Amino acid sequence: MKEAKRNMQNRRSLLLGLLRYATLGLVGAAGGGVIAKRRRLVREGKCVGRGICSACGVFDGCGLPQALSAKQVLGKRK
Amino acid sequence: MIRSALLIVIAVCLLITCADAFGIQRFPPPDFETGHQLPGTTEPGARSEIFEYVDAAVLIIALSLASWLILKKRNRRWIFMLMLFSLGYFGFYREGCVCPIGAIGNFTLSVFDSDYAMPLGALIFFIAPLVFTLFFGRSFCGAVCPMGAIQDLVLVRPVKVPKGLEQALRLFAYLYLGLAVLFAATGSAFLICRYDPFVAMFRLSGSLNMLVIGACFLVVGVFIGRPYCRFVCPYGVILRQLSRLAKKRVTITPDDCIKCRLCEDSCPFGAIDEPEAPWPEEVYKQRKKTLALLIALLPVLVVLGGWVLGGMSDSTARMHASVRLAEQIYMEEAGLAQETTDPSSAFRGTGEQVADLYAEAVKIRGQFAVGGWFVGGFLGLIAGLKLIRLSVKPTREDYEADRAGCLACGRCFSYCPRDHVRIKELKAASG
Repeated sequence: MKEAKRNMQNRRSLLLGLLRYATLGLVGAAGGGVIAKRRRLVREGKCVGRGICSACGVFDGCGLPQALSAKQVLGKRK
Repeated sequence: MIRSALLIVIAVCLLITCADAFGIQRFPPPDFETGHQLPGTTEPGARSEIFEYVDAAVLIIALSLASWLILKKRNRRWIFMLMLFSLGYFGFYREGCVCPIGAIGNFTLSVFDSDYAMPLGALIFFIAPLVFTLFFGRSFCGAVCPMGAIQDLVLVRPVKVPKGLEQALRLFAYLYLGLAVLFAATGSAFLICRYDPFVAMFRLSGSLNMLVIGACFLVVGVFIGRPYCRFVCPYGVILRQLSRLAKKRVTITPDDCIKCRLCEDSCPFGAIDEPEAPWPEEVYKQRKKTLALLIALLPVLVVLGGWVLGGMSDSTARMHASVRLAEQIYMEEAGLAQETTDPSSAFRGTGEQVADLYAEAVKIRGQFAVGGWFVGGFLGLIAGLKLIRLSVKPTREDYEADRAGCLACGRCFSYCPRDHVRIKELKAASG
């Protein structure tokens, strides 16, 4: 009886382990996909923030028309 | 005493926030240049990219520390201290942005929109808690999430929520997640960020409506532990499922359970499962029939959910600015609208073709119809699986922390006499 229970627990932990690492792989692949896409967009000289400069991390060094226009407006306010 | 002082601090913060919330801009600012300085926006401004990585590093350090405190140190006091730090740093200092919960919207848009890629900092914020949950359970919810922390502080008189009601209320979080993904995927809105109930408090500024909703959550949270986390949080839905696969997880007792029942009522979130005696033969047979019926009913629930939400696509599509604009233009063209609106006047000013706008609106409505079927089907599936789970006998011999529902707050540790023995042994060993 105890042996059967232990076998069941082993099978369960093996299955959970497989699912865990499969999920980890999925999360990693999704993250890697987003990073690759971001790199591609930057390489193509496209905006990575849908033209929304507010809270954009690369705003300071960005030379795209939207960013230049936003910098001009912010400069006027100062 | 400390708790009362914290409640007073939160109440003062709320009052300050209320004053700011009334100070909305009621008229457009003057066009001429007078040198007047416009007040800052309610959203945090752009930060240098390096600070995104600093925030991400703080998050990873906090998650590591939380996991160690919860699983190894088993010390509620230190977990509480880390929770206060997270509330201060990610809440009030970083003004609740960026957060993993809101990053769901960014991530979804990154997947569905070919011209958008989320910032790397936001990506790390979205992924790091998922990875930690896969290995160490919900340490993010327990000690790092500022929204959880602010609710944890006000929990003074916990009331037990009946299991059935808890299961039913949790369905709302799945609905919220589904709609948030649908609206982000169609580029309509970042629903989670827009309706974040605590961000106005963190920023000490924001919409009065959201402030009131946030205050309501805190008032309810005095009696019902972390209502947003348990019944609304869409990120919590994902973490719940990943926590089932966690390699290590919170255990009430450090070694063997002696079934003393002291921990039975220690969890204010109803996340302690009691030992279950085997069902009598008649009950078992009856439940078997119910289970078969529910499994047969599952596809019906999926289709029904899809049909309901898919059928609501005309209403849900109105969240998209282009659909609203197309409807307004149509009303104006048909002579049904009394007056024009700012967006419709601006659209006419661009000289773009009305037919193109209509075509775009039809395309977006189509996306909402398809997405509505998926979200509705998903909800039907979840509802069906919940029903099935209720009719399956859990096999449990000891008091255990619920794999999915445990928020890893560490409250139950001090209720276990075996934990007191462990602490005494540790103290004796260290001299």
